[in-house]
Amino acid sequence: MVISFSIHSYRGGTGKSTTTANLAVMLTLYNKKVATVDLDLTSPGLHVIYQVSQSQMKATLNDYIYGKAALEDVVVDLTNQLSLPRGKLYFLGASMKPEEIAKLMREGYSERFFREVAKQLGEVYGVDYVIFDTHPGLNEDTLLAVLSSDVSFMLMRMDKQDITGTYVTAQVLSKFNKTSYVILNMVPPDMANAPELQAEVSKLLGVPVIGVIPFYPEILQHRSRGVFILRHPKHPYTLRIKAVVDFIVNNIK
Amino acid sequence: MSMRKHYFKPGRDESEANLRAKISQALLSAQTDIDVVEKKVSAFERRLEEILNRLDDLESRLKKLEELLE
Ligand SMILES: Nc1ncnc2c1ncn2[C@@H]1O[C@H](COP(=O)(O)OP(=O)(O)OP(=O)(O)O)[C@@H](O)[C@H]1O
Ligand SMILES: [Mg+2]
Repeated sequence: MVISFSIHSYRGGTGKSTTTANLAVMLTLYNKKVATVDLDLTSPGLHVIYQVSQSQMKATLNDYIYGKAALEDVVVDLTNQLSLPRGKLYFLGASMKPEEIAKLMREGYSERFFREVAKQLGEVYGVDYVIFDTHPGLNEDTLLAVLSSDVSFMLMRMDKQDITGTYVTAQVLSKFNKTSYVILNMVPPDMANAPELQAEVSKLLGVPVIGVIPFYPEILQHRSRGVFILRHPKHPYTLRIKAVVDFIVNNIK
Repeated sequence: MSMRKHYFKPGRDESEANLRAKISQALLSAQTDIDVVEKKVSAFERRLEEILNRLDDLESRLKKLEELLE
Protein backbone atom coordinates (compact mmCIF):
# COMPACT_ATOMS: atom_id res chain seq x y z
CA MET A 1 0.00 0.00 0.00
CA VAL A 2 1.32 3.38 -1.03
CA ILE A 3 0.95 6.25 1.44
CA SER A 4 1.05 9.72 -0.04
CA PHE A 5 2.10 12.87 1.82
CA SER A 6 1.89 16.49 0.85
CA ILE A 7 4.41 18.89 2.29
CA HIS A 8 2.85 22.28 2.36
CA SER A 9 3.35 25.67 3.95
CA TYR A 10 1.49 28.93 4.02
CA ARG A 11 4.53 31.03 3.27
CA GLY A 12 7.27 30.36 0.76
CA GLY A 13 10.80 29.53 1.82
CA THR A 14 9.82 27.65 4.96
CA GLY A 15 12.00 24.68 3.98
CA LYS A 16 9.54 22.42 2.13
CA SER A 17 12.00 21.17 -0.48
CA THR A 18 14.84 20.78 2.03
CA THR A 19 12.58 18.86 4.41
CA THR A 20 11.12 16.72 1.62
CA ALA A 21 14.57 15.65 0.40
CA ASN A 22 15.97 14.95 3.86
CA LEU A 23 12.87 13.08 5.07
CA ALA A 24 12.87 11.02 1.88
CA VAL A 25 16.53 10.07 2.23
CA MET A 26 16.02 9.21 5.91
CA LEU A 27 13.10 6.97 4.94
CA THR A 28 15.34 5.08 2.50
CA LEU A 29 17.74 4.43 5.37
CA TYR A 30 14.81 2.61 6.97
CA ASN A 31 14.81 0.48 3.82
CA LYS A 32 11.76 2.23 2.38
CA LYS A 33 11.08 3.00 -1.26
CA VAL A 34 10.21 6.66 -1.65
CA ALA A 35 9.18 8.83 -4.58
CA THR A 36 9.39 12.60 -4.32
CA VAL A 37 7.37 14.77 -6.67
CA ASP A 38 8.14 18.44 -7.30
CA LEU A 39 4.81 20.21 -7.61
CA ASP A 40 6.14 23.65 -6.81
CA LEU A 41 5.90 24.84 -10.38
CA THR A 42 7.02 28.42 -9.96
CA SER A 43 10.00 27.74 -7.72
CA PRO A 44 11.00 24.10 -8.08
CA GLY A 45 13.75 23.24 -5.66
CA LEU A 46 14.08 19.49 -5.32
CA HIS A 47 16.21 18.93 -8.41
CA VAL A 48 18.70 21.49 -7.10
CA ILE A 49 19.03 19.71 -3.77
CA TYR A 50 19.33 16.32 -5.48
CA GLN A 51 21.68 17.78 -8.12
CA VAL A 52 19.64 16.32 -10.96
CA SER A 53 20.41 17.80 -14.35
CA GLN A 54 17.69 18.42 -16.92
CA SER A 55 19.34 15.87 -19.22
CA GLN A 56 18.59 13.09 -16.72
CA MET A 57 14.88 13.70 -17.15
CA LYS A 58 13.60 12.02 -20.30
CA ALA A 59 10.23 13.67 -19.80
CA THR A 60 8.63 15.98 -17.26
CA LEU A 61 5.69 15.67 -14.93
CA ASN A 62 3.86 18.11 -17.21
CA ASP A 63 4.13 15.64 -20.12
CA TYR A 64 2.79 12.89 -17.89
CA ILE A 65 -0.11 15.04 -16.71
CA TYR A 66 -1.13 15.70 -20.31
CA GLY A 67 -0.88 12.02 -21.19
CA LYS A 68 2.09 12.67 -23.49
CA ALA A 69 4.77 10.77 -21.57
CA ALA A 70 4.85 7.55 -19.61
CA LEU A 71 5.59 7.49 -15.91
CA GLU A 72 8.71 5.43 -16.65
CA ASP A 73 10.13 8.32 -18.69
CA VAL A 74 9.55 10.87 -15.94
CA VAL A 75 10.91 8.96 -12.97
CA VAL A 76 14.61 9.45 -12.18
CA ASP A 77 16.14 6.82 -9.91
CA LEU A 78 18.55 8.56 -7.54
CA THR A 79 19.45 5.57 -5.40
CA ASN A 80 22.88 5.01 -6.95
CA GLN A 81 23.61 8.63 -7.72
CA LEU A 82 23.25 9.51 -4.03
CA SER A 83 24.98 6.26 -2.97
CA LEU A 84 22.07 5.26 -0.78
CA PRO A 85 22.92 2.02 1.00
CA ARG A 86 19.32 0.74 1.19
CA GLY A 87 15.82 1.49 0.00
CA LYS A 88 15.06 3.41 -3.17
CA LEU A 89 14.72 7.10 -3.93
CA TYR A 90 12.91 8.42 -7.00
CA PHE A 91 12.40 11.93 -8.29
CA LEU A 92 9.69 13.30 -10.57
CA GLY A 93 10.40 16.81 -11.81
CA ALA A 94 8.24 19.42 -13.47
CA SER A 95 9.05 21.36 -16.60
CA MET A 96 11.18 24.49 -16.35
CA LYS A 97 9.76 26.00 -19.55
CA PRO A 98 7.79 29.14 -18.70
CA GLU A 99 5.02 28.42 -21.22
CA GLU A 100 4.52 24.89 -19.86
CA ILE A 101 4.51 26.14 -16.28
CA ALA A 102 1.97 28.80 -17.19
CA LYS A 103 -0.28 26.28 -18.95
CA LEU A 104 -0.38 23.96 -15.95
CA MET A 105 -0.88 26.85 -13.52
CA ARG A 106 -3.79 28.06 -15.65
CA GLU A 107 -5.45 24.70 -16.05
CA GLY A 108 -4.67 23.32 -12.62
CA TYR A 109 -4.08 19.77 -11.54
CA SER A 110 -6.82 17.24 -11.47
CA GLU A 111 -7.62 15.40 -8.30
CA ARG A 112 -7.26 12.14 -10.24
CA PHE A 113 -3.64 12.90 -11.04
CA PHE A 114 -2.58 12.62 -7.40
CA ARG A 115 -4.33 9.33 -6.89
CA GLU A 116 -3.19 7.87 -10.23
CA VAL A 117 0.45 8.83 -9.97
CA ALA A 118 0.67 7.39 -6.45
CA LYS A 119 -1.05 4.20 -7.55
CA GLN A 120 1.20 3.75 -10.58
CA LEU A 121 4.33 4.47 -8.55
CA GLY A 122 3.21 1.68 -6.26
CA GLU A 123 2.54 -0.72 -9.11
CA VAL A 124 5.64 -0.05 -11.17
CA TYR A 125 8.27 0.78 -8.54
CA GLY A 126 6.77 -0.73 -5.41
CA VAL A 127 7.12 2.54 -3.54
CA ASP A 128 6.00 2.74 0.09
CA TYR A 129 5.70 6.54 0.19
CA VAL A 130 5.05 9.33 -2.28
CA ILE A 131 5.89 12.83 -1.10
CA PHE A 132 4.47 15.84 -2.96
CA ASP A 133 6.52 19.01 -2.48
CA THR A 134 3.78 21.60 -3.05
CA HIS A 135 3.49 25.23 -3.92
CA PRO A 136 3.08 27.48 -0.85
CA GLY A 137 -0.06 29.43 -0.06
CA LEU A 138 -3.70 28.91 0.64
CA ASN A 139 -5.46 28.56 -2.68
CA GLU A 140 -7.72 26.12 -4.44
CA ASP A 141 -5.03 24.26 -6.35
CA THR A 142 -2.64 23.73 -3.46
CA LEU A 143 -5.51 22.63 -1.28
CA LEU A 144 -6.51 20.16 -3.97
CA ALA A 145 -2.98 18.70 -3.77
CA VAL A 146 -3.14 18.60 0.01
CA LEU A 147 -6.61 17.06 0.10
CA SER A 148 -5.78 14.51 -2.60
CA SER A 149 -2.92 13.00 -0.62
CA ASP A 150 -3.43 10.68 2.34
CA VAL A 151 -1.65 12.77 4.94
CA SER A 152 -0.76 16.45 5.06
CA PHE A 153 2.39 17.84 6.63
CA MET A 154 2.30 21.55 7.23
CA LEU A 155 5.65 23.20 7.66
CA MET A 156 5.62 26.33 9.76
CA ARG A 157 8.08 28.99 10.80
CA MET A 158 7.57 30.73 14.09
CA ASP A 159 6.67 34.13 12.68
CA LYS A 160 3.31 35.80 13.05
CA GLN A 161 2.37 35.72 9.38
CA ASP A 162 3.13 32.04 9.04
CA ILE A 163 1.44 31.12 12.31
CA THR A 164 -1.69 33.00 11.25
CA GLY A 165 -1.71 31.44 7.77
CA THR A 166 -1.12 27.95 9.14
CA TYR A 167 -3.90 28.44 11.65
CA VAL A 168 -6.32 29.31 8.88
CA THR A 169 -5.06 26.40 6.75
CA ALA A 170 -5.58 24.02 9.66
CA GLN A 171 -9.12 25.35 10.11
CA VAL A 172 -9.88 24.74 6.45
CA LEU A 173 -8.37 21.24 6.49
CA SER A 174 -10.34 20.30 9.59
CA LYS A 175 -13.54 20.82 7.58
CA PHE A 176 -12.36 17.96 5.37
CA ASN A 177 -11.33 15.66 8.22
CA LYS A 178 -7.84 15.60 6.76
CA THR A 179 -5.13 13.80 8.72
CA SER A 180 -2.63 16.59 9.24
CA TYR A 181 0.58 17.12 11.16
CA VAL A 182 2.71 20.17 11.72
CA ILE A 183 6.48 20.33 11.56
CA LEU A 184 8.09 23.49 12.88
CA ASN A 185 11.15 24.48 10.89
CA MET A 186 13.81 27.17 11.30
CA VAL A 187 12.79 27.61 14.92
CA PRO A 188 15.03 30.08 16.78
CA PRO A 189 17.32 27.89 18.95
CA ASP A 190 16.20 29.36 22.30
CA MET A 191 12.59 28.73 21.40
CA ALA A 192 13.34 25.20 20.20
CA ASN A 193 14.64 24.44 23.69
CA ALA A 194 11.38 25.37 25.38
CA PRO A 195 9.79 22.09 26.40
CA GLU A 196 6.27 23.53 26.14
CA LEU A 197 6.63 24.70 22.55
CA GLN A 198 5.32 21.57 20.88
CA ALA A 199 2.25 21.31 23.09
CA GLU A 200 1.46 25.03 22.84
CA VAL A 201 1.55 25.05 19.05
CA SER A 202 -0.48 21.82 18.87
CA LYS A 203 -3.07 23.40 21.13
CA LEU A 204 -3.30 26.59 19.08
CA LEU A 205 -3.60 24.83 15.73
CA GLY A 206 -5.55 21.80 16.86
CA VAL A 207 -3.04 19.70 14.91
CA PRO A 208 -0.27 17.53 16.41
CA VAL A 209 3.24 18.91 16.07
CA ILE A 210 5.51 15.99 15.18
CA GLY A 211 8.79 17.79 14.72
CA VAL A 212 10.65 20.84 15.98
CA ILE A 213 13.59 21.65 13.74
CA PRO A 214 15.78 24.55 14.79
CA PHE A 215 17.42 27.03 12.46
CA TYR A 216 20.94 25.84 11.68
CA PRO A 217 23.16 28.25 9.73
CA GLU A 218 25.05 25.24 8.30
CA ILE A 219 21.95 24.21 6.38
CA LEU A 220 21.59 27.58 4.79
CA GLN A 221 25.28 27.52 3.85
CA HIS A 222 24.97 23.98 2.54
CA ARG A 223 22.34 25.14 0.06
CA SER A 224 22.34 23.31 -3.26
CA ARG A 225 25.16 21.01 -2.31
CA GLY A 226 23.29 17.78 -1.94
CA VAL A 227 21.11 16.30 0.76
CA PHE A 228 22.32 17.60 4.11
CA ILE A 229 21.81 14.49 6.26
CA LEU A 230 23.94 12.40 3.89
CA ARG A 231 26.89 14.72 4.39
CA HIS A 232 26.30 15.23 8.10
CA PRO A 233 24.95 12.01 9.61
CA LYS A 234 25.79 13.08 13.18
CA HIS A 235 24.46 16.64 12.98
CA PRO A 236 21.57 17.53 15.34
CA TYR A 237 19.48 18.34 12.24
CA THR A 238 19.83 14.71 11.16
CA LEU A 239 18.55 13.58 14.56
CA ARG A 240 15.54 15.87 14.29
CA ILE A 241 14.74 14.48 10.84
CA LYS A 242 15.14 10.97 12.21
CA ALA A 243 12.62 11.72 14.97
CA VAL A 244 10.03 12.75 12.36
CA VAL A 245 10.72 9.62 10.31
CA ASP A 246 10.38 7.46 13.42
CA PHE A 247 6.97 8.99 13.91
CA ILE A 248 5.98 8.38 10.28
CA VAL A 249 7.12 4.77 10.24
CA ASN A 250 5.49 3.92 13.55
CA ASN A 251 2.26 5.89 13.38
CA ILE A 252 1.21 6.44 9.79
CA LYS A 253 -0.02 3.21 8.27
CA MET B 1 8.45 -4.41 -13.97
CA SER B 2 5.86 -4.90 -16.69
CA MET B 3 6.80 -4.18 -20.30
CA ARG B 4 3.89 -1.91 -20.99
CA LYS B 5 4.55 1.64 -19.91
CA HIS B 6 2.18 3.54 -17.65
CA TYR B 7 0.35 6.63 -18.83
CA PHE B 8 -2.05 9.01 -17.19
CA LYS B 9 -5.30 9.69 -19.01
CA PRO B 10 -6.04 13.38 -18.58
CA GLY B 11 -9.53 14.40 -17.57
CA ARG B 12 -11.47 15.11 -14.47
CA ASP B 13 -13.88 13.08 -12.42
CA GLU B 14 -17.32 14.39 -11.63
CA SER B 15 -16.37 14.27 -7.97
CA GLU B 16 -13.65 16.85 -8.58
CA ALA B 17 -16.03 19.72 -9.35
CA ASN B 18 -17.67 18.85 -6.08
CA LEU B 19 -14.41 18.92 -4.14
CA ARG B 20 -13.33 22.19 -5.75
CA ALA B 21 -16.66 23.77 -4.84
CA LYS B 22 -16.22 22.62 -1.25
CA ILE B 23 -12.69 24.03 -1.16
CA SER B 24 -13.87 27.44 -2.42
CA GLN B 25 -16.60 27.43 0.18
CA ALA B 26 -14.16 26.54 2.97
CA LEU B 27 -11.75 29.25 1.81
CA LEU B 28 -14.50 31.85 1.79
CA SER B 29 -15.72 31.07 5.27
CA ALA B 30 -12.14 31.02 6.58
CA GLN B 31 -11.67 34.63 5.44
CA THR B 32 -14.64 35.91 7.40
CA ASP B 33 -13.39 35.36 10.94
CA ILE B 34 -9.90 36.77 10.46
CA ASP B 35 -10.27 39.09 13.48
CA VAL B 36 -10.85 36.13 15.75
CA VAL B 37 -7.80 34.41 14.28
CA GLU B 38 -5.58 37.42 14.89
CA LYS B 39 -6.66 37.63 18.50
CA LYS B 40 -5.92 33.96 19.05
CA VAL B 41 -2.48 34.22 17.44
CA SER B 42 -1.62 37.32 19.48
CA ALA B 43 -2.60 35.55 22.69
CA PHE B 44 -0.44 32.62 21.64
CA GLU B 45 2.51 34.93 20.98
CA ARG B 46 2.19 36.48 24.42
CA ARG B 47 2.17 33.03 26.02
CA LEU B 48 5.24 32.05 24.05
CA GLU B 49 6.97 35.24 25.14
CA GLU B 50 6.23 34.42 28.77
CA ILE B 51 7.61 30.92 28.35
CA LEU B 52 10.79 32.26 26.80
CA ASN B 53 11.20 34.84 29.55
CA ARG B 54 10.78 32.16 32.17
CA LEU B 55 13.39 30.08 30.36
CA ASP B 56 15.79 33.04 30.24
CA ASP B 57 15.16 33.64 33.91
CA LEU B 58 15.83 30.01 34.74
CA GLU B 59 19.02 30.04 32.71
CA SER B 60 20.39 33.16 34.38
CA ARG B 61 19.49 31.78 37.81
CA LEU B 62 21.24 28.52 36.98
CA LYS B 63 24.28 30.46 35.83
CA LYS B 64 24.36 32.45 39.08
CA LEU B 65 24.05 29.25 41.03
CA GLU B 66 26.95 27.72 39.12
CA GLU B 67 29.05 30.79 39.80
CA LEU B 68 28.25 30.59 43.50
CA LEU B 69 29.24 26.94 43.60
CA GLU B 70 32.54 27.47 41.84
N1 LIG C 1 16.25 24.19 9.55
C1 LIG C 1 16.85 25.04 8.71
N2 LIG C 1 17.86 25.84 9.18
C2 LIG C 1 18.48 26.70 8.35
N3 LIG C 1 18.20 26.85 7.06
C3 LIG C 1 17.22 26.09 6.53
C4 LIG C 1 16.49 25.14 7.33
N4 LIG C 1 15.58 24.54 6.52
C5 LIG C 1 15.72 25.07 5.29
N5 LIG C 1 16.72 26.00 5.27
C6 LIG C 1 17.17 26.83 4.15
O1 LIG C 1 16.14 27.73 3.81
C7 LIG C 1 16.11 28.00 2.42
C8 LIG C 1 14.71 27.72 1.89
O2 LIG C 1 14.46 26.33 1.97
P1 LIG C 1 13.64 25.55 0.86
O3 LIG C 1 14.07 25.93 -0.50
O4 LIG C 1 13.67 24.13 1.23
O5 LIG C 1 12.20 26.18 1.14
P2 LIG C 1 10.86 25.99 0.33
O6 LIG C 1 9.77 26.05 1.32
O7 LIG C 1 10.95 24.77 -0.51
O8 LIG C 1 10.86 27.28 -0.56
P3 LIG C 1 9.87 27.65 -1.77
O9 LIG C 1 8.61 28.09 -1.12
O10 LIG C 1 10.58 28.72 -2.49
O11 LIG C 1 9.71 26.38 -2.55
C9 LIG C 1 17.19 27.11 1.81
O12 LIG C 1 18.33 27.89 1.59
C10 LIG C 1 17.44 26.05 2.88
O13 LIG C 1 18.77 25.59 2.83
MG1 LIG D 1 10.65 24.50 -2.62
